[in-house]
Amino acid sequence: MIDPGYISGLSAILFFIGLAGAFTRKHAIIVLMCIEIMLNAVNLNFVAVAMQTGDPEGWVFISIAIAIAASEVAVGLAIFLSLYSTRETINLDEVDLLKH
Amino acid sequence: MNIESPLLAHPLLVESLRPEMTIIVGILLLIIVPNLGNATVRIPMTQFRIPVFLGGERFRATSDPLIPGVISMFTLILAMASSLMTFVEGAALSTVCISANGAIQQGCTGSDYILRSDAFSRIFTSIFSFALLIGTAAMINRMPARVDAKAPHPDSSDSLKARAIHILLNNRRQGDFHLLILFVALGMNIVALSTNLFLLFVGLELASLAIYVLVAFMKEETTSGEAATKYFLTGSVSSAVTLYGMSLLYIWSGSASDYASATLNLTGPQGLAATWAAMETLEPLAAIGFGMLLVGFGFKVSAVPFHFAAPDAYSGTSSPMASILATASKAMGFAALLRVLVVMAGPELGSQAFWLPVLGLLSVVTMTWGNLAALSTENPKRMLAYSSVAHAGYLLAALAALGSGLASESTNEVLITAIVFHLLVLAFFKSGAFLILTMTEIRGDSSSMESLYGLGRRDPIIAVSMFVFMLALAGVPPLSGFLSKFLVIDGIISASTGSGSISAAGAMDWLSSVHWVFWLAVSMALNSALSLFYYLRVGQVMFFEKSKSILPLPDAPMIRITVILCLILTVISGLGPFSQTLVDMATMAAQHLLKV
Repeated sequence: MIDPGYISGLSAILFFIGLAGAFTRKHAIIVLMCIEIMLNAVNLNFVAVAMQTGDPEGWVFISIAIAIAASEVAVGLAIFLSLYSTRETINLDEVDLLKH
Repeated sequence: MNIESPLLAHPLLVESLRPEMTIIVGILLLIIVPNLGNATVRIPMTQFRIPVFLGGERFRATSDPLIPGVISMFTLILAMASSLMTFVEGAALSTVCISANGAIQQGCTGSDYILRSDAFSRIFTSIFSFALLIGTAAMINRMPARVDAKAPHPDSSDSLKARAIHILLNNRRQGDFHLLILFVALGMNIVALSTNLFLLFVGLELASLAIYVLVAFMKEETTSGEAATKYFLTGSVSSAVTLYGMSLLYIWSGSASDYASATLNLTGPQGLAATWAAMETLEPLAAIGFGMLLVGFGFKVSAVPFHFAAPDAYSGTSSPMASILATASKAMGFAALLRVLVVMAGPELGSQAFWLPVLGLLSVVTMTWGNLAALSTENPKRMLAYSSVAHAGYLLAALAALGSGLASESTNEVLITAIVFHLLVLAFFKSGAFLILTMTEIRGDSSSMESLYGLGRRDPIIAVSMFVFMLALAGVPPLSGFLSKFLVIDGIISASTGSGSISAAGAMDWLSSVHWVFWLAVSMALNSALSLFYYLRVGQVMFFEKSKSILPLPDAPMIRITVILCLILTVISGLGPFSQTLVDMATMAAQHLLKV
């Protein structure tokens, strides 16, 4: 069996890749992908614990977290679509009507 | 009393979760009623058709565009009433806990539960229902349903066509809006009830995802897409950070028992609160996980440094939604913060919680930044957004005093009472202010102070109500805003003077010996004085500036009724028997929270 420490390590790396991407990228859909990476990093952490304890609770958390991540993508893409229909861009730098 | 039986067959389930059951019934009604129709299904191989009443050509009576709003308002009124029943019935009867294995208990004698319905959760579910009810009432006039809507005539002019299409669009999306409002209510209720971190997260996400859609709801307006994009991206980054913090706490809870078991329950023998109390020195995993957990809640209450999306979201979306963000969503954030901070990582008497310096600093920065930004803005919606940030700072100061561990049990109770009472009365006057902005918004524009110019002459009653709401926000006695601020400052001072020796020789000695939490109260008083400038400015432009528009404000009967209701509640909850009732309810909630 793989050492759970490696799994949580991978999870931490993925999480910070996602976090860094979410703060630096300018394209809304890429930011959404970074958020997905962060959510999946969380699932790896739950896997690491659930593997060791053998408690089904951890697996339940993961399946619910996947469902939440999926609905987040659905909501996010719908919002970006509505942004695009009025502004014809989803570049976050160009979206600045509300600065004052 | 200890009852255990399969969860769904238990009579206590429906009884203890009445508000949630009401909301679920409301959601089902909203899905079914507008879709009733004359559809039939043919039995295979025969010519028989049996009616299924769902789909096909809709019945005229049930597909009326006014119906979703009525269903949603009635559902929220019933949910609020059944939440308030807790305070009529008394605490012992209505405290019910449900654990993960399906056991359901009255009185909560066991401790391994995931949902807890007590005075603390019920006062918050009442706040959520009330705030959402006001938002719904405002939206009924903001996005009116017309029974007489017709398809545009091909020969009519372009502007007439656009108007007819807009009316049809409003009719079509009535159901969607009210359905989403009820989902927000359900998610928020789950947050208030849950004593399990993961369940709390599920409720938080249910409410947040519906709110993101609602912020983008008026999609024909240029700003709503932008507001929703910003709010959605910052919101989902912060909730991802929160969930990661939870997973770290899950690892930590597993490592405490050498991975025999792991849990995200706050209470119980293996719960996070017990593990936290058993910890001798602060373990890094626990501290990091806990800190990340607070990021998401900080975003929900719009505390610095997670405030940056809030002003954009408030000013870009419709005013009824902004009122929901400023009251219900903020109350949800504080319900979660209080549960987690007090139950899980509460300080021992005499020793401070590790989050105290962080929270104390954040509260000062949040209130000062919010007030300074509100001073310099010319957009009333943005001003209210920044004032909402400042109010978050005041409440964080009360939380910090709670974390100092200096206060006695009774002072802790006062502090939590102050926070709950503030969130309660905030729903009266902040929603009221946004309701009035909704009226100017229907008339065209509410994004500049000019829309309020001369309101005193255009509509005296509305202008006076707006002025009263502004005074209540500033905390002028005898309005409810004063009482709530007074309770917070009083709590902080009596918490901090517990450490200083008041009888010491000089005032300077006393000031140097007092705990630094005292200065939070000072900074709060200074900030309140600062905030008077921009609140009174609204009164000045309403009564002394010349109006740019000669049009009277719209009729909007629902909004007018709700404004008057908010006005009465704001005034009577500041002084007199009604305010005493509210404070008693908040005290009962505080006692229940501290008892967990």
